[in-house]
Amino acid sequence: MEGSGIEILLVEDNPADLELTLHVLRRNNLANRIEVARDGEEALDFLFCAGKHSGRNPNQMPKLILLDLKLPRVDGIEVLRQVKANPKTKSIPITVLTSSKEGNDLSRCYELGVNSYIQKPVDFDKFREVVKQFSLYWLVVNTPPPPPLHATAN
Amino acid sequence: MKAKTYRILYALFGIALALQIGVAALARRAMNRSVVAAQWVAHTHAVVANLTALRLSVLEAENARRGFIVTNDARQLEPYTAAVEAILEESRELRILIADNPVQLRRLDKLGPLIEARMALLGDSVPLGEQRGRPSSVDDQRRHTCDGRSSRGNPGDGSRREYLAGETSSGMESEKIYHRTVSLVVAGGCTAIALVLAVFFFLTHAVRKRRMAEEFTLASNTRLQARTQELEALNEELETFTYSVSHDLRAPLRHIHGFSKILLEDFGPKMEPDAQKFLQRIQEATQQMGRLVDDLLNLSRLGRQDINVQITGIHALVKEAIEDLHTEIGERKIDWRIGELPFVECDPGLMKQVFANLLSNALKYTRPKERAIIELGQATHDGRIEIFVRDNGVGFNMKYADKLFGVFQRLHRQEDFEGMGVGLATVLRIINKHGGQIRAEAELDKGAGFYFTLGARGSVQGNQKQEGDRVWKEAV
Repeated sequence: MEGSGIEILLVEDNPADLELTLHVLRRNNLANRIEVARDGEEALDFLFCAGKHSGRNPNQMPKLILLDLKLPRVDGIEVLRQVKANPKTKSIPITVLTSSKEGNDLSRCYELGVNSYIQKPVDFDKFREVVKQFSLYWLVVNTPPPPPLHATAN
Repeated sequence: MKAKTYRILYALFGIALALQIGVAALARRAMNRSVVAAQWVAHTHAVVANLTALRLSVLEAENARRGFIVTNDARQLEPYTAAVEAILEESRELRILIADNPVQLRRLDKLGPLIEARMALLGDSVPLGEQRGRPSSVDDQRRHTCDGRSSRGNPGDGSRREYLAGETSSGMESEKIYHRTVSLVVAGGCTAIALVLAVFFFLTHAVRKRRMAEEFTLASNTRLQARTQELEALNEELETFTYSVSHDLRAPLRHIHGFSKILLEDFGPKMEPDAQKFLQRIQEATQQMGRLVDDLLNLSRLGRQDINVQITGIHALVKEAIEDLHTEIGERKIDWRIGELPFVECDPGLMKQVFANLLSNALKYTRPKERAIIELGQATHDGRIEIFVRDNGVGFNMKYADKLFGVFQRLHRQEDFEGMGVGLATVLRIINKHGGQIRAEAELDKGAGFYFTLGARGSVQGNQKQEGDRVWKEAV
C-alpha cells in the first residue's frame, strides 16, 4: 500500500544533491523507505493526499521530512508553514537541509517551528556524517509522536 | 526662521519707519505754523509802523504848514510837500499791507477822507501866509524852530525805517532759524530713517544668512537621508548577492567534492595511482574554495551584523579558542605563555573569532620553529590597555605592515603557508566594529605580535578613562 512504512520524505529539486543524499542514506541502509518530492507542491500533495497521491492512506505519515528551501513552484518555507499549520502534520519532525544560512531563512524557519536546520557542508565527509547523524537520531533514537486517535480507532 | 517671525519683523520696522516719518512731518508742520504766526506778527508790526509813520507824516505836514504860516518862509513848504507825498505814499503802502483784511480796509477808507480833509484845510491856509508875504527875524526864529521840529520829524522817519528794516531783518532771522531748524529736523529724521533702514537691512541680511544656513542644513539632511536610503538599498542588494553566492556557489562545490569522494572511495582501488592523486587534488581544491567562500561570507556578514556586547572574560575565551584549534596543534609542542587577561565589554562570539584567527596564524607561522612560543597578555601602550598575541614565528618585514589587514593580502607563498588572506581582514573588521584599533609589530624570522584595543563599544572593564570615553561618545 502506497505510503505505508514511508520513513523519510526527501524534498529536493537538485539532482546532484538528491543523488548524494540518497547515496549516503543507502550506505546507511535508510534508503528503502524514502519518498522523494522534486518540488514543494509535490511534497504537499504527498502529505495531504492530493494530486497523484490522492489515493494514499492519510494516516500513514513519514517519520521525518528532509526539506530543501530553494524549491520550484512552492518553496520550502511555504511547505514548512503549511505542514506546521495543519494539526494532522504539525508533529512530523522537519529538518531543513539547505545550502545557505544567509538571509532571514534561519529565523523564519524557527519561527515556523522547524525541528532542526542544517547547512549542507561542502566537505562530503562532513555531509555524510551529518546526514547519518540526524537520520539515525530522528528514526532510531527519537520516539515519534503517537498516531492520531481516530487512526488507532480504525 | 519662521514666516511669522518675518512678518512681525517687517511690521515692527514698518511701524518704526512710519513713526519716524510721521514725527518729521509733524515737526515740519509745527515749524511752518510758528513761521506763519511769526510772519503775521511781523506783518502786524509793519502795519503798526506804517500807521505810526502815517501819523508822523500828518503831524509833520501840519508842523511844516504851521511853520510856513508863522514865518511865511517858502522854504517851509518843502517839508510840507515832502510830508504830503509821504502821506500819499504811506497810505498806498498801508492799503497794500492790509489788502487781506476787509475790516481794516473799511477803516482805512474812513481814514483816507479824514486825512484828505485835514490836508485840504492845511492847503487852504497856505495862501493866507503867502498873502502876508513878509519874512521877519521872528519868522526866521520860528522857521528855525520849525526846522528843528521838522528835523525832529526826520529822525522819526528814520526810526520808522530802521524799525521796518529791523522788522524785515527779524523776519529774515526767523526765516533763517526756520530753515536751520527744518534742516536739522530733516537731517535728524533722515539720519534716524537711514539708521533704522541700516539696522533693518543688517538684520534681514543676518536673518537671510541664517535661513540660508538652515536651508543648507535641511538640504544636507535631505541629501543624507537620500544617501542613507541608497545605502540601505545597496545593503539589501549586497545581502541578496551574498545569499546567492552562498547558495549557488557552495552547491556545485559540494557536488564536485561529493562525487570525487565517492569516485575515490568506490573506484579508487581500480584506478592508476596518478588518477587517485588527481582526484585528491580536485578534493583539496574544492575544500579550499569552500573555505574561501565561507570566509568571505563571514566577512561580509560581519559588516551587516550588529554586535551583541556582553561583559566577557578574555581568559576563558582564549582557552576555548585554543581547544578549538586542537586539530591544528596536533602533536606539536607549544609553549603557551598566557599572562593576565582582562574582562571586556565585547561580542563574545566575534571576540572568540579574533583569537581563533590570531592564534591560528601564530600556530601556522611558528611551524618552522623547533620551539614555538605563543604569548598572550595585556599591556599599556600610549595610555591605553592593549591585548596582545605574540609569537616567535617567521614574522614579516614591517614595510608590508600596511598590507597586512587587507582582504586577499598575503605576505607568504601558498606553498609555505596556506591561507586565503581573509583572517586578519576579519580580525580588523571585528576590532573596528568594537570601536577599537589593531596594530602589528614584527621582525623577519624573529616573530610577530598583534596588539589591539577595544574602543567605545567594547571597553576594557575597570578602566575608568575608557569607561568615561564610552559614556561621553554615546552622549555625543
